[in-house]
Amino acid sequence: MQTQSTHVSLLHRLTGSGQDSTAWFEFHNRYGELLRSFCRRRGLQSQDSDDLVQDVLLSLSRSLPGFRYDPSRGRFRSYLKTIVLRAISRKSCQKPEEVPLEQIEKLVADPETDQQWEVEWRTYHVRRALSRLGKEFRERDRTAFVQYALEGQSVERTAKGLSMSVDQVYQAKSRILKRIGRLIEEQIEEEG
Amino acid sequence: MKKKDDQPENSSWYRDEGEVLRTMQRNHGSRGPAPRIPGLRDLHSVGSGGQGIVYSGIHKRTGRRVAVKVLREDGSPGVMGPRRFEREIDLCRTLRHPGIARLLGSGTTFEGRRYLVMEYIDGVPLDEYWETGVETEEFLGAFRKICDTVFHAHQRGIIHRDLKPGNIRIDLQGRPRILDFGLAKPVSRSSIEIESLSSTGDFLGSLPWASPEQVAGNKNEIDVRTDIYSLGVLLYQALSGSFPYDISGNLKEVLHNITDTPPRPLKLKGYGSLRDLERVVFRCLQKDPDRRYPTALSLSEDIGRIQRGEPVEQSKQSLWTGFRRLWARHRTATIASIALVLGLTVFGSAMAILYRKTSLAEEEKSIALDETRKTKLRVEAVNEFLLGAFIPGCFSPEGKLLVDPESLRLTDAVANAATRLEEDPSLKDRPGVRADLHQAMCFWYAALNDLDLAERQAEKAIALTEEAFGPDDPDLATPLQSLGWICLQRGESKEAESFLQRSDDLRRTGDPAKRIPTLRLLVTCAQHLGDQAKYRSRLEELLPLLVETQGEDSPGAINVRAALE
Repeated sequence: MQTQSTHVSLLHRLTGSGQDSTAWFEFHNRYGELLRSFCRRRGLQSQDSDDLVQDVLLSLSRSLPGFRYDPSRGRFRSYLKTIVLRAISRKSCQKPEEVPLEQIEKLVADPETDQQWEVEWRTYHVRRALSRLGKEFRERDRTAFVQYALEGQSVERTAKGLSMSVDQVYQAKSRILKRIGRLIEEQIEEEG
Repeated sequence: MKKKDDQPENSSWYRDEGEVLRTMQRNHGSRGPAPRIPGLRDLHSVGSGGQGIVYSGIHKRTGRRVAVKVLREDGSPGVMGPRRFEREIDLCRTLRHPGIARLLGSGTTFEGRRYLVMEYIDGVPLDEYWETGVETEEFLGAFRKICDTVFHAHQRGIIHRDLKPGNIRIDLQGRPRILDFGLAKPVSRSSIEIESLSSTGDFLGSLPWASPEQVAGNKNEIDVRTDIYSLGVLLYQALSGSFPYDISGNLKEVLHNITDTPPRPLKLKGYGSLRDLERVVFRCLQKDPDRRYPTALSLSEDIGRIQRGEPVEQSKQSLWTGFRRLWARHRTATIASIALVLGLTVFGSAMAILYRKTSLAEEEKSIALDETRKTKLRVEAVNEFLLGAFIPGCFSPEGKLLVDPESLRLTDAVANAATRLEEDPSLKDRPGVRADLHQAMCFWYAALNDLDLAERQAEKAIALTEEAFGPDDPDLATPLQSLGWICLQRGESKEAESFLQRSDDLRRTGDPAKRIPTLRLLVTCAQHLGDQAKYRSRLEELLPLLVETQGEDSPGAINVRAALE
């Protein structure tokens, strides 16, 4: 459903009049799981993570109308990370107005935080590529990939269970993995 | 100590297949290990969807292969409570049809997640089947079986709501089998559901097959015809290889395309009855559910006609719907259309009055003859007046058109008739005729979308009838219903309900068929007022009337039964 330049156009739709609820829906659909997962990694409970995603969306809705996303001036993922950390910090202090800016800056620059964000960001790209993979491959090949490459089931058993040859299982794995890599490359180029 | 694969190594990590695979494994592993389910072994995931992860497994005792769907921990879209979940399960267990994958059991995993055990269908999803280059004739045969299966479930009050290629499999014997019947939850765009839908991706995954009423979030409009729409998208897709409208844009554009954009012409090669097939597909894809096939059976029958080289049934639409559409398109009516519509109206009014009076007469046998004679006279007067009021000066005695059709507007003609009605001395002492005429004028103004004037005409009809025949005269039912309808159009549901209730009370002793439209409007009122209890009780009152007058398996009865689920 998404095209090459959707990332940028989505952000522009978000920064528009603010009335485009479908843009928020899409944004939530795209980044919600990334944000929740990152929050959990930072030690937040599931319920708190959900609240925090809402908080991030609210922050964006307040800041985005005046913000024109310009890929040349910095990566969106860094911008989003700052907003998320700000929200986490607010959440832990429970005093929204009293968070010192330096604290956020410190967190943003913290290598461990950076690493966690990077891991989540990669997982996000993988998930997204998988969802885009859609119908490019036959169901049998996709299932073989999951069972053999992701779940570690032996190639023989996978082949037998799906009425495939061992070679077909290997081929399915190789082709799908290559395609996923290309899709991620596209996504990252689009992201800027 | 950090694991190696947690460390970002370089910005081109996606070019390293090992790194991509590790990231995927980590993501997959976050789902947790395969669940443990009593009585089953060897569970392996075979896919995931909006509702949860699907595993294949082996039933320990029988050695049979089964499919297990473990529902998401956070509840699936539309969050189904445990009681509702159990009710759905019970309902689905009653579905026994060779075209439906059977639900074999349900329960809670050791980890506390709900699961469903279903018949495992070895085969391919529907889209893979049509992509294998299957002949159109053969595909249509399979499609008819799908329609017949859907009809079977509809007759039992179960709507699928999420028919898409992934939910229909062609088994190894080439038979279509439908999955998840009754278990799919309605797709809705309401603010609460967006949250849960967006987190699961279910909404986007089903969007291309969703009906306009689903994407508009009109849950109350979802009925068996919602499935007809999805079947239409499937058929279009199978025949042309593409969707009826663009689904590649952003969400807003896609939603707009579903609700407002007409389907693109169907480009189909190599099949004789292209036009008929296109007509069938387009009837399924009507934005207005009233204009779609009323049942999956009628759709299947039309496809059968195409296969046999017979003409398909023409799209049927009510006079009212047709007129409204015509009027919306051409504000300036021609003489010809006026004459035609006028003729139909006079005929319609006359028939309605005759019908009403005849049924009343049957009940009150003692005055039957007098009443029929009175009715005849009344109809003649109505006829005479309408012809005189609408047409004078337009036709010569020989029937030749005397005015420029483009210059004559229907609104003017109706206004002219309304004025004459007030002034006509011959009607002075005939309150019954005048009341009928005011009611006819009310219909006309409603058709012209002038609710204020329509309301005034209905009020006059009521005043005249009450004055002449008393406050309990059954003739009051129609203008009261009109007032109720007008209030509903304005969003004044409370007022609408009181008019409609009075109208329905007056009709209770008469022909049960006449109560149906009033009760339908009362159902709408209850919906608008958010009165769930009343909504159900109205439907419960409506159902036996529909069964009695239209039959057990009529579309009306099926829809109401489905709404009561």
